[in-house]
Amino acid sequence: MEVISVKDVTFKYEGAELPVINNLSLSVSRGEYLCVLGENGSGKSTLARLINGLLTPNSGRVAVYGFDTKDKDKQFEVRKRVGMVFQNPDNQMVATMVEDDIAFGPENLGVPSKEIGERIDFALKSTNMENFRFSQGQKLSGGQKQRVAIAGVLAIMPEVLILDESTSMLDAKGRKEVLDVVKELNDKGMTVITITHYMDEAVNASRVVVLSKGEIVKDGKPSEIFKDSNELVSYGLELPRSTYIANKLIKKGLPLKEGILTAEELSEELCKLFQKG
Amino acid sequence: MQIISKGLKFTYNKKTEFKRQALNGVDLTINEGDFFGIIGQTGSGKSTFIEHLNGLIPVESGELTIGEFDLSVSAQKPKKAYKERLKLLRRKVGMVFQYPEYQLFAETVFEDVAFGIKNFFPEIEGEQLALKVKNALELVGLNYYEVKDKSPFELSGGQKRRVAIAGVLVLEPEVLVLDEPVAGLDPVGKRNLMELLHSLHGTVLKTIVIVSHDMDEVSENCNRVAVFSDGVAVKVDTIENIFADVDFLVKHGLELPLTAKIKEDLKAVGVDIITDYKIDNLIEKIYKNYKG
Repeated sequence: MEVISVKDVTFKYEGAELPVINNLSLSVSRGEYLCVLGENGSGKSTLARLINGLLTPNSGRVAVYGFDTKDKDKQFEVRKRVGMVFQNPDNQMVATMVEDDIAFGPENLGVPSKEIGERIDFALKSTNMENFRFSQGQKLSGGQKQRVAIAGVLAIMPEVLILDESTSMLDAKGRKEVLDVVKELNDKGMTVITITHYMDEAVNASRVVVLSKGEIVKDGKPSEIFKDSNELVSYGLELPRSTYIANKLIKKGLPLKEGILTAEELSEELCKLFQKG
Repeated sequence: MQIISKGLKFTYNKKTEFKRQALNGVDLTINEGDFFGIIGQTGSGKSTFIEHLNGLIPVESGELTIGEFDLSVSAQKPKKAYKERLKLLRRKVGMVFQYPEYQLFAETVFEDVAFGIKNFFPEIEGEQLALKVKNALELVGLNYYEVKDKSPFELSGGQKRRVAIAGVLVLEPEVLVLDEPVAGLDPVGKRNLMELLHSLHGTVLKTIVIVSHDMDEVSENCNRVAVFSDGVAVKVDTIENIFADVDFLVKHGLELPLTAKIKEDLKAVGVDIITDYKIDNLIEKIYKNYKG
């Protein structure tokens, strides 16, 4: 089932010379874990804002669960289905206390207060922030704030979760925790769109789309996307580190299998190789 | 300038119910010439510590000296003299915060970079000012004539960040402290910025200190590292020693860089590779080991 349809969309910021999104089409199915890659300025964040209706196209059509994002009467239908977590946690805090901040979304949607409490519990637990329920948001570190932002979106129980570089300020452990949560939500059926600069996050997606100058230049499984390193570099990207090491060793004549994407695969291959030898 | 911290402590919101001890006795030394990495979990005190290094957070308890600058409580009086010294220190120790491009504010790149100079040296103006701005922009790899009249907001993410760094370099600091310098940049932008820092290190900058949560980045770029945990520098050592102690890192909630992970896995099957955890050196070592 198609949940998001982007059809021939062009978008230009006012006053800009060139469009940021250039006649782009993209269809996202329910339950997909889609990762959008692309260099700074390639249009990734703009695409995300077009999908949740924060921006509307100059031409073409964006539809979420069939609702046209241009249709002002249906804005609510779009927004409650697409939850978005942004890059900078400082711009996303609305309340002083963490608990109130998370409650803001569901309160606006008119969720009964008992259920709001349950949603807060769930959201805090999912983001490993239970101990900060009554903390002042402003006093949290960048990573902690970002987890609150994610919790705030989870409390809305959206159908589609968009993460716009939301893990870029987290430490490795925090990142893993958040990615595990996202994975779990995806396993339970939530459609996930993640925008990231971490190639190793892209490896976990079911589908990767590469943007360059507002157009989709690559679309496929991670293993297909990370085949050609020269092409990736031309889009401001690079191979996952494990793939980089594997490719270099293969070039030097070591008989490793093709298509290594993760540290685990690389380790396993190397260990096999040395145990044989 | 050597940076020496002894028993440095700091509590946020001391007199309120929200008080939180962020630093709990930090002992560490950063040597002149270091490309120093500060790692540790979110909330371990990394950012609070570096905000002490140019007096942004005044020392509350413990000792902190930056070269000849004593920032300890005992040296904070008389107030006027302390403030004068702080001003001098802030020129010597440049600070680049997380996502510094969010702090760009002027109408043109020129004005943004010139801001620090105007603040510290109002007497510098005209051609002399232009020359300083030009130098700073060139140091970060930007073409002065191309960017000086542009709005900072017209630039790409990587360029904006370079402008922000130029705004600090224009004061010609000896030490540059950067909190998560490459966060949010695309991979090529990341690599270019780290290469830039290396080219500045040992030429215009004596010492670089970075806070990072990316172990690969730290293992690739730093020579010495401090591991922060619960407001204490629990270990200060060379890259080689830090990443060789796997149990220690795991205990403090840190991941291994990929190179260390592979080294460990190979060790488990009897292949011992001696490495400095730099990715290209590891590749070379694995190759040699396979061949030999």
